[in-house]
Amino acid sequence: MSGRSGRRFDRGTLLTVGGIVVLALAGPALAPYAPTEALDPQRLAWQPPSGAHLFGTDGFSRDVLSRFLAGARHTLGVALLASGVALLLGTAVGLGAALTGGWRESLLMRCTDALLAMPRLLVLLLVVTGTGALRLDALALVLGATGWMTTARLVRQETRRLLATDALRGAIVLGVPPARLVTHHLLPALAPTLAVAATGAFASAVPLESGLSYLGLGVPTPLPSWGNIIAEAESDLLRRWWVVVFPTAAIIGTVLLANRVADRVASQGSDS
Amino acid sequence: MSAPPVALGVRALGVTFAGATHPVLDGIVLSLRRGEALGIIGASGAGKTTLALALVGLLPRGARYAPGTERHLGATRLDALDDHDWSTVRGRRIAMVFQEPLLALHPAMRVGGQIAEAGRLHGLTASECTRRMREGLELMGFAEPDRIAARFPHQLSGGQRQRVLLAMATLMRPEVLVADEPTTALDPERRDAVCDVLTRLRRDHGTALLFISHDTALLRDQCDAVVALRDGRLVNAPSSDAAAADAPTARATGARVIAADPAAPTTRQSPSDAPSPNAASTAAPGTASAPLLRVEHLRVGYGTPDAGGDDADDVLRDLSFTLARGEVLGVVGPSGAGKTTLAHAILRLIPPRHGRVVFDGTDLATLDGETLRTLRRRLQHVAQDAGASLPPHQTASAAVAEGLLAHGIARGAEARASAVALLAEVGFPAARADARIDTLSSGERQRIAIARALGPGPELLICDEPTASLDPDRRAQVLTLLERLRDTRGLALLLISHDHAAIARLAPRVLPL
Repeated sequence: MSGRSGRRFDRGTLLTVGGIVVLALAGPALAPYAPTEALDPQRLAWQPPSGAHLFGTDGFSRDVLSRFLAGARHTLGVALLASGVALLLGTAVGLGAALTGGWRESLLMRCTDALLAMPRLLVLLLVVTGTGALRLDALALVLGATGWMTTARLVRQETRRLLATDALRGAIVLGVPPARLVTHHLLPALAPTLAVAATGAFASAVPLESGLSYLGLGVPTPLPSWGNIIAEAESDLLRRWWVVVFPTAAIIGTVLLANRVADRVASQGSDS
Repeated sequence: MSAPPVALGVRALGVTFAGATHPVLDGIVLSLRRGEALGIIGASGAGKTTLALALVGLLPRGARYAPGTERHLGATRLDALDDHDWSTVRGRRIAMVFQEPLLALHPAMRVGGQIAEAGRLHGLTASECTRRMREGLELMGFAEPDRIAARFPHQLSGGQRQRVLLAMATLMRPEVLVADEPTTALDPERRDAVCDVLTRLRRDHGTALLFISHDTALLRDQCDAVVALRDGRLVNAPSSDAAAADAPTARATGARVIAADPAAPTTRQSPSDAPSPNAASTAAPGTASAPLLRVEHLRVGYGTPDAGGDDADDVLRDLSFTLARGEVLGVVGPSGAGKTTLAHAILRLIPPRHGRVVFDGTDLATLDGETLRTLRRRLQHVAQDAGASLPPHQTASAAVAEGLLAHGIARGAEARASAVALLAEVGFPAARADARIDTLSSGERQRIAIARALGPGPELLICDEPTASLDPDRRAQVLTLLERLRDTRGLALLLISHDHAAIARLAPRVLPL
């Protein structure tokens, strides 16, 4: 690579990623009002954006900007934890399948395919309606447990390819034990694939969490999340546009950004 | 008649790697006219490959060009190009043949498709791509281009891959071809054929050739001028006249190397060791004990049976031989004869279709994972693409120490010290033991690979072309080292090579494939 494209990310992407991280970490501290406080249900309900309430207020007269900022942590945190779980499960299954080979590999991968064939949203709805409102960490676990299959397939495919390369064959012939083969040879070589898988899992977890929260099955109210803020608009999405526009834009922006990061990571991986 | 125009002009080219105090290349000046060939010679680690990469704009991350560097391709100033511009120049106007062919080919794509892709990227029609791809493969000496085109890189031998890369690089008839050791993986006949192709490209298409090698005789023979790269500078650049004056001696040297081939039988110990498969299948005289390695009726092929793989696809057919402790057996054969396949089959990297590999009385196919792993301590390998067989992100000492750790021979600081000692034994400087492998030259990697294989203390070492990427000094060093290991450690060697002189020197018995 020439020096020019050795650059990992452009400044805009870095700044936006940094901004989102700050949002998730410091969001509640930046909020001008308490996110769950009804300010004045009589006079301040459904206020459009103004100097006092930049994102307006919802039907309980809560400040939407404060809910938006506090909700960032829940939405992004759940998505982050979910993608971590998906990455862990997917890597374990994919590596395990590729390394064992034979009928065990076939069995593992056919099971993975079967799970992949189930509509994820439907599974999520069944689980969540079955168990009732979930704690945030449980919600993240459920999201992760339904989202590891593509990672497993990616990891298995890449591991099989790596096992046929001279570098891995060299390590095998040298007599490197399986555990060290994984930690010192396969995982470093899989890193770009894992990074792509992780950002992909994150990008799919954000709208899913928001969707569930919109339906009232995700982050339990009154805790804010980007999805359940939108739900506050009830049936009048157009007239109460300010409750819808800001969280929606944030969800779309986050997903686009995650995909862009994934693209960059993928192209970095193929260079080296 | 006026001189042909300059195809490639370089002034004040310097390159420094991140964190290094000394530049890898410094003040390089070159000028190459249309149809001309310039040979660049240099010892292992002199910066030959870095020079080639700098010319095609593919320096690794962290490398910096010196200010004032000027690279001109015809009328195009290469230094001013961005990535997109480069993609229209590289491959079309300036092409490169890499030293390690396995690293340069996509592992999951059939080679025909890879060759044709080069044409499609530069705007040729699909049918034109296919036509040129077949023509290129034929030029490179493949009798059945379609059969080769349908294979994946791992199904080709080292020499075949090298020729595939050449076919790919020459597809667009570039103005300049940078060839980094394009013939080291080839046997003498294929080498001559490839050189003929390069000559024809220069003559018919006016391609200017930058030929990097450590084979002085070959360069003198092939190039209009030869310059040496030493410590990052071009030195001792003889004028064309001087090169011409040297040419007779160069040819004489070349002739001597070839002459070593017929002379080889005279160095063999006794007539009973004549190089026929039958002779090779009997144990060497005087070894009453069981052989260390016994290969019985080995048949190996690629192409899976359900994908129409049949006997005709077999690379090895009914091969049998034995190897005694402390014995050196040479394995020779033309490119594609199955030399590396044999090594992989013995190491149980590929399953044979038929036959057995018995190491010290144990049929390797019967071993489970852990038993096989433990046994690998006694049976080590120096791969053909030694550079590719090492973990690129590790340091030299870590890569060597890994074999000691894997078999519980040493741990921690002790393992590192042993690794440095092993590196010293193969002539690798201790001061560079902590350099990352991907920053080292291919000659250095070759020696690391040998040190790594010696670490576990093997009884049998399979060396696949151990001298191919080394300059004459290093080559002599490695051969002396192998000789010493045979004599002091009683190491048995399976020496795969097309270096006839090396085989003649080390191997009393030869197995032709």
